[in-house]
Amino acid sequence: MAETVLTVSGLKKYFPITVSGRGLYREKRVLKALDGVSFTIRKGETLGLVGESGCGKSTLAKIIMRLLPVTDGQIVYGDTDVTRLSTKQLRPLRRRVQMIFQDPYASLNPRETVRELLAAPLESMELGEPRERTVKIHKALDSIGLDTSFLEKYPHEMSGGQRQRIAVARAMISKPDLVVCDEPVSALDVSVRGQILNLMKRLQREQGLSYLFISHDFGNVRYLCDRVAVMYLGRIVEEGTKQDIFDRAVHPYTKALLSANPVPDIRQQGKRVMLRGDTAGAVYIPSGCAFRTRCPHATEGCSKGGGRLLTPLKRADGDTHSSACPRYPAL
Amino acid sequence: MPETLLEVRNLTVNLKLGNRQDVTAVDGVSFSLKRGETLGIVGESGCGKTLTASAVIGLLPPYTGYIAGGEILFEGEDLTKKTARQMRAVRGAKISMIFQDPMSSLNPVYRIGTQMREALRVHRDVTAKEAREISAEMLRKVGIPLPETRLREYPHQLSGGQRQRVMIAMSLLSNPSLLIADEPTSSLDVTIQAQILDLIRALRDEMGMSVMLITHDMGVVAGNADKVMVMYAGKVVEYGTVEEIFTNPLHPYTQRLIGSIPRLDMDVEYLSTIEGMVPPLGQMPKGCRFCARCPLHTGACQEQPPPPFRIGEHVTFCRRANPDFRPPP
Repeated sequence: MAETVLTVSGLKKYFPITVSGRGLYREKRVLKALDGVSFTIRKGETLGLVGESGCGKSTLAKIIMRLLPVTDGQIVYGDTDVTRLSTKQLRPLRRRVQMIFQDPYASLNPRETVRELLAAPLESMELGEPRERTVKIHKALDSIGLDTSFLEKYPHEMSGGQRQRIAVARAMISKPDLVVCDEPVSALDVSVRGQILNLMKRLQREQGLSYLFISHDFGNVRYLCDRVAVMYLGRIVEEGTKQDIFDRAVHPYTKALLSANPVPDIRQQGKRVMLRGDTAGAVYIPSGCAFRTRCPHATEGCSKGGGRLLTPLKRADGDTHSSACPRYPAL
Repeated sequence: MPETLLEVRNLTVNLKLGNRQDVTAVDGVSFSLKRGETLGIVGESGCGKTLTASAVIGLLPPYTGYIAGGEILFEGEDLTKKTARQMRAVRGAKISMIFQDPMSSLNPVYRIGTQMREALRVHRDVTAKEAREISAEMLRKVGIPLPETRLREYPHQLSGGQRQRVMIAMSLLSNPSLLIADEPTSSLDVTIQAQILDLIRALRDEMGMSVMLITHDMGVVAGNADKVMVMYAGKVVEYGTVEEIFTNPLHPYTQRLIGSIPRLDMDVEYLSTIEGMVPPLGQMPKGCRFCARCPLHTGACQEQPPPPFRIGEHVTFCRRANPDFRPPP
């Protein structure tokens, strides 16, 4: 079994918020953005994380990067527990886990040239002598299919696709083990999305790195991921290999998401599972299975229990297909 | 045979750019739309799809956008000849539009009911009580529970999907014959997107209106349009029924646009991509505009704009689509 690059267990992130009123009359609540999330990512593997807006995907990314403090749980890079490390202690480990953000217009400093943007991670992580850094920057540019004429360009002189390539190169230049990608192609035009996804796949093959690929687009996930986790209101409701999720999903939410995804093929406009209403919101999470308020198969029993991930199938190859549906395997 | 509701002929939209020369953003676009039909307009950002729709409803960006040529025949009348005052009688009454982001198209400081009443009173003489009843009825029609309560609420109290439903309800108050939906679901989650698209389709059938559905998503078009118009760099590159476009796409751009979308039902090693970029406005090549990114281009493509190639109603602007075409040796 391949070594693991990231293990998270029982991650919780609660935000105290005021829902109404002021001063003495305010009503306080807890927004449970993450409520017990656990998974592992192995070397060279891509885990896709899908779910609708507000399900906690991006909070999870920030927690893994230690950009947000965690309420409870554990984050382990490789075999180092980083949950309680100080910023200073964390520094040498930053090299191993990097991130690509959704919007390259916002994630690149508009006042820095490509050369400066790519040099920044090398400098802050003290990787290599100045001359080696130049070589590394040239190599990084080459690997993303841009030539050295881009070195002195500023972000505004480039197209969206080129900017996202730079963001990819910046994340990869320190040779990380894991890259957390938060909706890396959603802000791009359709024809450019394919280019970036192909690039990410090629770089993964060449460098043997792992991705946590966060997306709401099932097509992108099928293309890039080995395993998929589906999130709903701060919890993983189903997890399995790509084939498990796309060909034999068991959770009603996964099935509904799959059927709602528009297919660019007129022969396959099948019957949709239409969900009622929209997500309850992470402040008033329904008891038991959080999905029961929208679920077409919900029964009274679904309001009981903790809504934790159950593992109904364990296969010989070590992969598991788990579902949190309280009615499994009846459904 | 249903009658033609809208016929656009050779529409050209120019944009003023400060002191520089005006650029042509929509160049000679022609299409027609029958009653009760949905036309999907697809293309990437900057291809002119939104400007085309804005020209039809008379909402081109003020002081910058203007119609430089062509005709927009709506119910037999040429909208390009109408004055601003005359257009106000058409806009909102016979042609309505919904936008991508419902939060920025609703006014955050007025209650839903107030905004709906205002929309209603522009075109019809109704009392406040009647307005409330009509609005509540319309909200119920678009699937909003407890419409009377919702009328007293503000936009921020509704979810994204509910806001888009309110927008749709508002746009349908005057029973329009054409609804322009500009990326109506792009800011919504997939499960909500499916609900909204279903709603638009059901209302179209119920009220017998026509829909112009503008989107960049080939999947949305495949499931919801009758006719499809693919635009690239301000020009129409292909037009046909949804069956023709998806089973027999003739233009290399359409083919690659469909091919570059990752599939849910099969694994692919690498996606087909369209290398390069759209030529910037004002620097359009004199020949085919897709030429620089097209793997099939020949010398003739660079020199002359492509002539239309027709099979029945299916039209494409590509030399290579014509089986009689022989590249010069």
